[in-house]
Amino acid sequence: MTADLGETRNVAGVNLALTREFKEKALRFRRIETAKRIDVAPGAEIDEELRKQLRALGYLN
Amino acid sequence: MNSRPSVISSRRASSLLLCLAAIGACDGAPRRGERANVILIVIDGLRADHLTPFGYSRDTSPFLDEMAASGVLFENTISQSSGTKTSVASLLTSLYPEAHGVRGVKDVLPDSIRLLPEVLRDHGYRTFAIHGNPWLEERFGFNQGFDEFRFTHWYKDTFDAQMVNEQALQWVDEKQTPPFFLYLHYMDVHSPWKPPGDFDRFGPEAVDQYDGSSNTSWTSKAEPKSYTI
Repeated sequence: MTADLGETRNVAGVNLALTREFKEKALRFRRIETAKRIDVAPGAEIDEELRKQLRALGYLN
Repeated sequence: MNSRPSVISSRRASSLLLCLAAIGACDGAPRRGERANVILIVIDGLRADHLTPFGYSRDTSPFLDEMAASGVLFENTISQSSGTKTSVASLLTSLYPEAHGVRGVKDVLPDSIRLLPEVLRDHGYRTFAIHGNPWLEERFGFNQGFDEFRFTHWYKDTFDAQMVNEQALQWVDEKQTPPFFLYLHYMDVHSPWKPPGDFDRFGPEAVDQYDGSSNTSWTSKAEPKSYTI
């Protein structure tokens, strides 16, 4: 990161073994954390007023 | 507020929230047997790398400089998401996004998950929140545990840092009895930026307007007021 502060280069292909290791760790982490979910709430309604407010902040465009 | 603050900053590139937590009590530090008041301040869109305590060259945050100098400054914390909704869900639940499940536009915090204000209310705290971000609306479950949960969309002229401060302090004055938990969520640094009056001094470019917005009433020494909390 110090050599490429803007992170403009994709270095995933430089060291494939390291990339694979990180990917496996990330997937394992996600599996463990997802298993902790105790409940899922029904999705909220996104009405036009909320869409208007979100667009004003630069979202949903 | 006379007690020492703790400052927690999200410094990584993906971080979009800066959080400050302050713990204090009436008339200074809590005495034995007293429970401290808790104030959680979230400054939406504020980049740690544009603040002078983290080495930024512009004088964007004189008040935060003072807090950082006299409090605790965490320099290496990582936000759980680049989005407000997911980040705040993690902040209030102490869960990773995969565990609380609030990652998409329609996702809602389930009632079964205990939020920080619920825990504090169960321990006798009065709880108050004020924010201007529609991602945190009641329909998404963020009001759980709050005695009062106020939302005003920030693009209305009446919602700014000064208004947040005034409403929060008015609530404190009305409730009087500690302990309380305040969650104050500021939006002044979120785009589109519109730094007020004297703070529009860095220039016309986007980064200038951003820096000017960072330097509004809650980060500056402008119009100092004295309150006992």
